[in-house]
Amino acid sequence: MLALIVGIITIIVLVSATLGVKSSVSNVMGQMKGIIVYEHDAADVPYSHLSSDYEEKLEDIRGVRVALPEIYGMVRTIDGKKAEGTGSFTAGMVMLVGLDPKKERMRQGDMYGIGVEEGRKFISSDKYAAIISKDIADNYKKNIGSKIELDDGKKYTVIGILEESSVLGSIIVVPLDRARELAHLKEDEVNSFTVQTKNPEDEKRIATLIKMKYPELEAITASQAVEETEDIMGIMDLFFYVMASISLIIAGIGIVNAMLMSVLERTKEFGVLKAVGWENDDLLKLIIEESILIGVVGGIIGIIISVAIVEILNNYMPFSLLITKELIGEAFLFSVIAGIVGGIYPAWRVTKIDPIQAIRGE
Amino acid sequence: MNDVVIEAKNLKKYYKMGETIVKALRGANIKIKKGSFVFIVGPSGSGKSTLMHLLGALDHPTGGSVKMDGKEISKMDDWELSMIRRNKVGFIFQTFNLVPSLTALDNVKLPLLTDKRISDEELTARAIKLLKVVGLGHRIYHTPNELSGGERQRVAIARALINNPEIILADEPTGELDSKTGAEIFELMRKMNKEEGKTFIIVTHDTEYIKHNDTVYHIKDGVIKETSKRELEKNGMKGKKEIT
Repeated sequence: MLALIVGIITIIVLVSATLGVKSSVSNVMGQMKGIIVYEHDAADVPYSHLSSDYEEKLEDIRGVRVALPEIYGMVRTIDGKKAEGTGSFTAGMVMLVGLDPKKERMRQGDMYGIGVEEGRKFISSDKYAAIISKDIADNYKKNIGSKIELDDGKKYTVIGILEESSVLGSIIVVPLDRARELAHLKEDEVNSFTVQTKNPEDEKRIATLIKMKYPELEAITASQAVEETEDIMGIMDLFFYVMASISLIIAGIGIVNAMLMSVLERTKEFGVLKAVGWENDDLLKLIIEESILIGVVGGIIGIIISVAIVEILNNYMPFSLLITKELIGEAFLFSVIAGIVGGIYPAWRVTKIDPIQAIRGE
Repeated sequence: MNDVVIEAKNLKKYYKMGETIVKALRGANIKIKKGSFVFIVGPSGSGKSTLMHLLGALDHPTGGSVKMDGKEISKMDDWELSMIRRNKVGFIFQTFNLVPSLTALDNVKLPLLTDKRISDEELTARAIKLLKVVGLGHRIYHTPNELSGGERQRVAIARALINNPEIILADEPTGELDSKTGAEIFELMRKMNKEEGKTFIIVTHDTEYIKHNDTVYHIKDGVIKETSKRELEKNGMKGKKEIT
């Protein structure tokens, strides 16, 4: 029973973790609109350095509505002390994002799909303004209108607080120029652009166009990014399912072992039952029923414990583990099947018991 | 002929024990009348238990025939034999063979628990009635561990009677009991024999429970001879158990 319960817990917790990561990633990415443009040779967006000249060049492409420059960096100090973020996705760091206040009203949708919960987005006149993530607001006790001091010793006015997000972690958004200084970029340098098209269906085509026209650039649509992450998730899925299968096999062996022990212990009883006229079918049914019962009870206990574990983990994890009805259904089915399969061999052993031997044996 | 309930003819049972073949029964003949109270006695290893198993449809003979109610049972398959046991035979064992985790009531119900012809209420009522008959009306919900040896054997007797069998086979029913309790158990079995007309076939070492007008079969070297208490006493088979 224990092996089964542990197996079920392994399955549910592992799969709910993948489901959770998957759903939060695709939630965020799915809500992103546009094409991410960055340096072709850069390993990732934060390592890309592009001249802000591209802003105009990109907007000149037919079908492009707007090119939004972006800067990424790290906030090192807040209010004169080492900046401390939460969430393992940002590994305890506070991410710095720079956006152009003059152009942000042109952005369709929210950045990373995360909206401003309190306060407002940037407007053209913003200079020392900051939009901060919820956890920063909570941990540093900032409200709309509070001042927050960053690396440069300048005080920024908090104008907006972002919705709580399981993916992004700690983040401070400041106007592009300020971010450039904080991130020590050269003048007229940015990390990347988000290019939004007039017609959303054109995204893929325009991404290709950008790459052809400017081979030094990489252009990837948000939906492609989602696909890419889903590929990685697919590998994760596979890995977790392999783990889950192994735990199921262990659970199955556990049931076989437990049932076999309990059957052998009762050899004499089964012999008596046979002697008094029980058929093999009756015994077969009895054992299979017993092992299904183990499967059902083990499954229910496993599911209850898993739900509790996931509840607890969700308080500490940067992303939510997701338990779906299907997952619970599958786990339950799993454990019942483990019960049936685990009962077959012991049941067969019982039918082979010779009543005479069993009764005689002390 | 109609009053013969079991008839065995030229019954043979050989066992293989490693290289050697043990001939437990080598052509045994026995005819048991309905409603009789029959003893089978004999030294250890004489084939008593083997005979019992064959008469009780627990095992297949190597040769010869066993007829129960005129029906040949020696060639039946396992399923048919289990049906015979369920419907016609009741067993009482030396070691009681009760299921320790079940109450007296459930132990008595056991043989018919999987029988769909009888409802649970009916079965429970019958089991309670039988437990009262064997004098355990006040111990229905006790488990075997909470009962004395004699009480356990009474539960086993009630269990042997639950399917209302024609034949009750008892293999050393008093082997684990002191002689006072053993006498009580025999009294109870004789009562069942007289009042209910059940056929009792009892394998025993204890000749002290045999009465002078009882039918006694003596089994030796795999063959059966009819005898009597008097004759047994003459031959020195007397008193308590032999050394096994």
